[in-house]
Formats: sequence, structure tokens, C-alpha cells
Amino acid sequence: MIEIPGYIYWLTRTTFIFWAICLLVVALLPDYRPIAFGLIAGSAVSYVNTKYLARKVRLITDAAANGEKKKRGLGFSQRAAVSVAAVILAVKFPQWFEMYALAGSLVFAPFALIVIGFILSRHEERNSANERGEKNA
Amino acid sequence: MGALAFIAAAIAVGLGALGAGIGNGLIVSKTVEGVARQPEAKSTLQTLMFIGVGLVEALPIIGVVLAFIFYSQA
Repeated sequence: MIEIPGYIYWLTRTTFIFWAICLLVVALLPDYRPIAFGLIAGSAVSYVNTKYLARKVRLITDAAANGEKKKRGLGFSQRAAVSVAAVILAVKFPQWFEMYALAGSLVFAPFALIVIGFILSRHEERNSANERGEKNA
Repeated sequence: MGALAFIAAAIAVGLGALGAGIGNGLIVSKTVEGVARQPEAKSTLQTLMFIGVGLVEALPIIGVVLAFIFYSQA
């Protein structure tokens, strides 16, 4: 099974491609700039939250495997605070960031992870079938 | 609009947090139980927990953000 660093690698690539598309919109369609900036800010926050979550998951499972106590942290509050900070940015500067685009793109990374997981598992299944020689039979 | 917006914000945060709390608790407890039983399955369980927790946490984050939007427009 593909491990967390593999998912993070593909999530990083997907997020960068998404930002590139948004920056193209910024360059080519000036009327839609606030929406594109909102999407970029929301997906950036979502990406940071997901990377932080991956680190926390690794710490929790390592602690469980080694029989250690879990280290304390702010947990969900930290991720929610970063998201609210991004929305405050949109409330304070509506001429730069579209609030609804920003709020909507805060769930970019979780939904991208589902798609990435689906594609990676299909790819892995196909590779393992090839290794067993099922395709050539 | 004022009082209703505050009630809407409270419901969005409260119910979102309640559901996510129960969901996260179940995911983490089962994963820790699985890792403690079978440490060799750690990486598989880690990945599944990562995707599960990420999905479960998307809802309360949206709830908090919506509540803040209601609050700022009240």
C-alpha cells in the first residue's frame, strides 16, 4: 500500500497544478482575480492543514506502536484557527479575496486525497496484477 | 437577522464539532487498537487513518468558517 509520504507527494503536485491554473486565470481574466486569489489562499491553507495532520497521524501511530504516551498539542483547534485566519483575510480584504471561493477551497486537500487514493490504489492493483502475470495470461 | 445569525453560527459549530468528535474518536481508537495488536500493519493503518481523519475534519472546518461568516454578517 502507498504510504503517507506518497500521498503527500501527489497532493503537493496536485496543489501546485491547481495554483498554476489559478494564476493563469489571474493573468488572463482580470475580472476573476478575487475568485482566483481566494481559491489559491483556501487551497494553501488546506494543504498546510493536511501536512500538519499527516505529521500528527504519524506521531500518534508511532506512539501507539512503541507503547509511548501521545504528545499533547492543540490538535483540531490549530487547523480551525488557520482556516478562520484565512477567512478573516477575506473579510478584511474583499477586493483581493472572494470569501465564498476561499471557504469552498478549504476542503480542496481532503477531496483531492480521495481522488489521489483512488488513482494510486487502481495503479497499484494493476501493477500487482502485472507482476503476477495475470495480464499476459 | 442578528439573533438568528448567532443561532445559525452556534448550530453550525456545535453539530459539526459533535459529529466530527465522535467520528475522529472512533477512527483514532480503532487505529491505535489495530497498531497495538499488529505493529507490522502500521503503515497501512496510518494511511487509512490519515485519509479518514482528513475527510472527517473537513466538515467541522467548514462549520467553523460558516459560523464565522454568519457572525461577521450579524
